[in-house]
Amino acid sequence: MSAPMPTHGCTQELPETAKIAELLAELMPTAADAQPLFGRQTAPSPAVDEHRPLEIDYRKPLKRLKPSTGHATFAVAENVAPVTQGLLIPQSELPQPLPPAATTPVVLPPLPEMEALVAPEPIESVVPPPLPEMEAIVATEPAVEPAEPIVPPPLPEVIAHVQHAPPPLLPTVASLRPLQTDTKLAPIEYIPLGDLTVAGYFALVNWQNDPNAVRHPPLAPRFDAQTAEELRKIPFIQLDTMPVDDAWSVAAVLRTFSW
Amino acid sequence: MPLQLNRTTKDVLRHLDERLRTGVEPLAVRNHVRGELGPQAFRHAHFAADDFFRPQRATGAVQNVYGQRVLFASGALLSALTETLVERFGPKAVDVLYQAGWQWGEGDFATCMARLEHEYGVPLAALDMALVLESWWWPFRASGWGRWHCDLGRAQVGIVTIEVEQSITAAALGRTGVCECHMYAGLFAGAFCRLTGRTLHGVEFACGARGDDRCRFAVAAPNKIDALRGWRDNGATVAEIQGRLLTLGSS
Repeated sequence: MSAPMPTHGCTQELPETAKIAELLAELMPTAADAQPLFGRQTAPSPAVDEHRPLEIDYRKPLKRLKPSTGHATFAVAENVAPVTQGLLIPQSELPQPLPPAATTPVVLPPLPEMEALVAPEPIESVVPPPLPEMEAIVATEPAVEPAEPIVPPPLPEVIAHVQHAPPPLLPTVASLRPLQTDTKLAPIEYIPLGDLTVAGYFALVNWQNDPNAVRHPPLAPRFDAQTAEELRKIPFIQLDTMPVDDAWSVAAVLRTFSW
Repeated sequence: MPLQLNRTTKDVLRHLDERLRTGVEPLAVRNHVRGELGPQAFRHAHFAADDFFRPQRATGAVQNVYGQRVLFASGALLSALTETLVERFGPKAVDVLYQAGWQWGEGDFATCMARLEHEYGVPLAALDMALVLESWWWPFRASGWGRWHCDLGRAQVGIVTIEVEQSITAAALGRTGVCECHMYAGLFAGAFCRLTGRTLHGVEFACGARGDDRCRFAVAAPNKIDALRGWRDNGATVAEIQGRLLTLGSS
């Protein structure tokens, strides 16, 4: 036995709701076994064997409501003004507000009579016209054309060089590896650079701080003879582009010691 | 328990990568260092104190840019340390300070060698000797151990002479009349032992605590150092000792 479910709070707050409930109670047929909608005691489900079939008499025509004339119909007239016009509805044409709810119960008119519906006449079976004759579709194999093998366009030498370039060497301690000197790339006219030559462009792109790389010779001597002579005394400054055996390296200095 | 003066070489290299990398990829291995302009893989110039020392306020520790632990102390600590060693070991306190300096220099120079090879991308044998020595001494100078000048001009007799100005030991102990920078002597001896791979000793034959203008040290083979120590103890002046250095090669 389940407890009655609480009703919605708003139904108890509005007086109009209570009046509607009263009206419905008047309209609803009273029955001895009438049970409220909520709080219905759920009977235990019967067993399968005890389940009784539904008592529905199909011989009896179903009662359906006949559409009343009170329904609003939208008559299509030729002289109906478009929706975009006349948005401002004059006051006289506005629907009148509903009168306030009367304090006394309003007696509703009786429900319309439900007339028995007559089954519509059976539609005569219409024989559809015969289908047009279609040509037999024979699946034919597509013409085998000698297709040329797909050959990808040749990669630019630049991209190929980059793809197959060896990984960059990281500095190590134990070994002296040969320096990378292969920095020359074949210039390819793929990019219009105007006055800048392609060789100059790739020289800038592929520039590395490699002392043994081929560099552009200086246009003018950077230092005069006296300055260059003074600079040569400093072991950290190398004025010659060609590698010179340093006399101040650790190995060279230690070789001079006679312990 | 050995005193943790510096971390392992691996930690030093890790700090080097974390703090001094500039984002430029390291170059290929070269046979020597060139003074070239352009982007470098590491930042080599860090001379300001706030740039060189990295305080960790959460732990209260201070590290240098290479990850080495640094302890800020006054001269009173060195003075008290020396007095405590003298009280405990007597005449052997000199050997204790020398051995402490020797282990310090030997370990620190080993870490410095790995750091330089990683920083410049050149084997140590191909690096400039002056660059190696100055790069090793720079943390000492930044920490207040004084300015130094390393003279390799007596290679034919196998003697390295080093001059140190503003020695911290001499400043801490004051004018005592004798050579007090034993830790410096061991420091230089250990460093050059690691650099040359030979057994070398060091001795101080001029000290600010004795009244000399600067502290002078010599690093050479053990027999030459013993001879030099004898000259010093017999009262030879600095000029006399420097004049006799070239004669040590023939002995």
